[in-house]
Amino acid sequence: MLITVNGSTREIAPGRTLHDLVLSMGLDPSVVVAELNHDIVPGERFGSTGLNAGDRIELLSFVGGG
Amino acid sequence: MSFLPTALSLVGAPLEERFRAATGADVLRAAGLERVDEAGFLALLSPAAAPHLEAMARRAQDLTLRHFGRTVSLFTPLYVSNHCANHCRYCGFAAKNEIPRSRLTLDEVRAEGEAIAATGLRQVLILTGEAPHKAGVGFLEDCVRILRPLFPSIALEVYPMATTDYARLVAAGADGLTVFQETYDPALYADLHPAGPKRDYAWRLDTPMRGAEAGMRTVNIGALLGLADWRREIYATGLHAAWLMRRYPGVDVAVSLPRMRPHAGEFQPACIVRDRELVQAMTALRIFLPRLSVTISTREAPSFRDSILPLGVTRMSAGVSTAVGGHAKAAETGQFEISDPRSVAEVSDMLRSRGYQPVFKDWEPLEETA
Amino acid sequence: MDHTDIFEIGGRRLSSRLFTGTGKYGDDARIPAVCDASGSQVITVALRRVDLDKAADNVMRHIPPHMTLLPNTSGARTADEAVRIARLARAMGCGDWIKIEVISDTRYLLPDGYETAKATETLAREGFTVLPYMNPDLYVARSLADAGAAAIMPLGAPIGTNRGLRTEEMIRILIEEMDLPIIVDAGIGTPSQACQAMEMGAAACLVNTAIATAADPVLMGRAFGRAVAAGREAWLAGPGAVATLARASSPLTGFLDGMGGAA
Repeated sequence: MLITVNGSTREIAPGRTLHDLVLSMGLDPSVVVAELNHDIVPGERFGSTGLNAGDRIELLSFVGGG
Repeated sequence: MSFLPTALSLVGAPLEERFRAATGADVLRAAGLERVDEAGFLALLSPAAAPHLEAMARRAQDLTLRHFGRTVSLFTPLYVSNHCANHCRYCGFAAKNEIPRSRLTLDEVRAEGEAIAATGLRQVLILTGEAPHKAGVGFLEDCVRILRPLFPSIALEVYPMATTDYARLVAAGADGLTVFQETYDPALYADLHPAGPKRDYAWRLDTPMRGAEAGMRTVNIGALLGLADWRREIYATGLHAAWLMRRYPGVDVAVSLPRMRPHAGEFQPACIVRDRELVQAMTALRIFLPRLSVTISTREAPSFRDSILPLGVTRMSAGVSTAVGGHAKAAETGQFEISDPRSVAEVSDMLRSRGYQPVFKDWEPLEETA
Repeated sequence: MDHTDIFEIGGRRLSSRLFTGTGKYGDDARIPAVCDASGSQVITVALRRVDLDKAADNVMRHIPPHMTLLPNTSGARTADEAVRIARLARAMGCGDWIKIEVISDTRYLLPDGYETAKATETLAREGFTVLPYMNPDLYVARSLADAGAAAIMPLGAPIGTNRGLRTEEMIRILIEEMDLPIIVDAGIGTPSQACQAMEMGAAACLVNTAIATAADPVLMGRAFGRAVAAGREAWLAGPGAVATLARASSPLTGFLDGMGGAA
């Protein structure tokens, strides 16, 4: 199924969670926050958040800033 | 919101010790600063400032010129009623004093206004005693409406009212409120006001705040100097003014420095504030609050008024009668004896000869848009 | 520094009044040593989309655990965007402090006071500790205070210019008029400028670029830490007498001498 992550389309297998997605992208879930279809999903809910076809996901993390 | 907690906090505060502890160095430091805090203000009011009065005067002159230029606003009081339910022990209009009582008719108010306007003045201060059944909000509203075509600026020195009443007077055309706390010491206040509505210290204390809330552009406060230790009174007055200025940045806050004079009652001042001390009080206020308006009344003698002009004065009364109806006809018993009987023209000439411009009209509100 | 002088803000008690940032470092690995050398206890970060093409080093690895994190809303052009970023930042689980930064003018990077006040109101209501970055304008400061800001962060000069306290007079007015702590942010290029801001009565300074871009950021961080502490001590000590007023040829108070008993 197709989802959109940070603006680009990706193919993932059905039944995956947000946690699976973050790990598959080589990210540390403890330093990432997500928006799923414009709703904020904090890290502790990644494992219980299933993904569906057409979902729009934003993954964000802290970077250097003043 | 109220100034009461601050006023009450001064009651037990060891101000005398702090006045005594201040040094000449504290005074000179405060006099040299761009922004003076409460501790600096206290030092400027302390006995240690006495030898440094000239330095304070020069600083005060500099600040006054910077913020006000060479201008002095002129106004005159218009007594519309001397009925009063209060028993202020120091006041010639106190209820128990057997003096002729009257309230002007609206025609007489107009005649007074016309007599004043003929002198060139465009700012007037309406005064009454505290007798709302004789001179209530409705009557004062009528007075303001009648005087409004003659005077762009109308202030009131009447009795403490609720914010809604002040709002009515603002809507009628008033733009200024004068109310003196007389003394900031609650115990002395209770002693001096044994009966009548004025007994309520807290209600009177927050009257300037209610006026500001109601939209008054100018709020003039003061302590009646002579009732209590002037250093404490001026310190409290300065804190009160600073409190108002901070909360109502759109309001022109003014302080008067009324010194007690002989009057129709038998009460005499508990302490005499000497000229030198009045100069210290005024210059300390100016240095603490550079943008503060300072009003000097005709309680002061001409030579003294002229001499202190450069030290912080921004408003003066002229052509004064403290009696009801005293502008249009010969005066009866006034509230207090004035010391400067000069006419508006004479005071204006004095100001011009000293390089100051007498200001008759500072501003005029535009007509309300519908 | 005397530890009786504690800066309390957002439920934290801080002994250092230097806030630092994490932007513009040549090497983020210097950050822990800068925190240590400067004594700073508050540090800013920004929030960005994860770069999916390259596994970047995460700045969080370099921030010592005792630091209070102050995420900013950089990138926000409107109040709504700032609110969205703030909520995401809080979802990271690193506290509820937020530095609001709403900028739509990319030429000068000046903050939009109106949008900043709107965002402040929303976020303060949601329980954030809101520190808005602003142009030092008294009316904007008042609306930020009314909106529930925990402190006001006026700029000393445009972001990243290191031009010092160009807005000195306006910041003085904020310090004088506002009850909230004034934290000077942006523009401070040298420790002497930070010291000057503290001498004026600023509650704290936020310094990022000047430290991060120094040839030796650790040494510069230490210098800023000392400058901020020195300026604070000077403020607490109170200034000395500035001018000795010379005797005028015609004294203003001369009239008092001739008045006999009354004087």
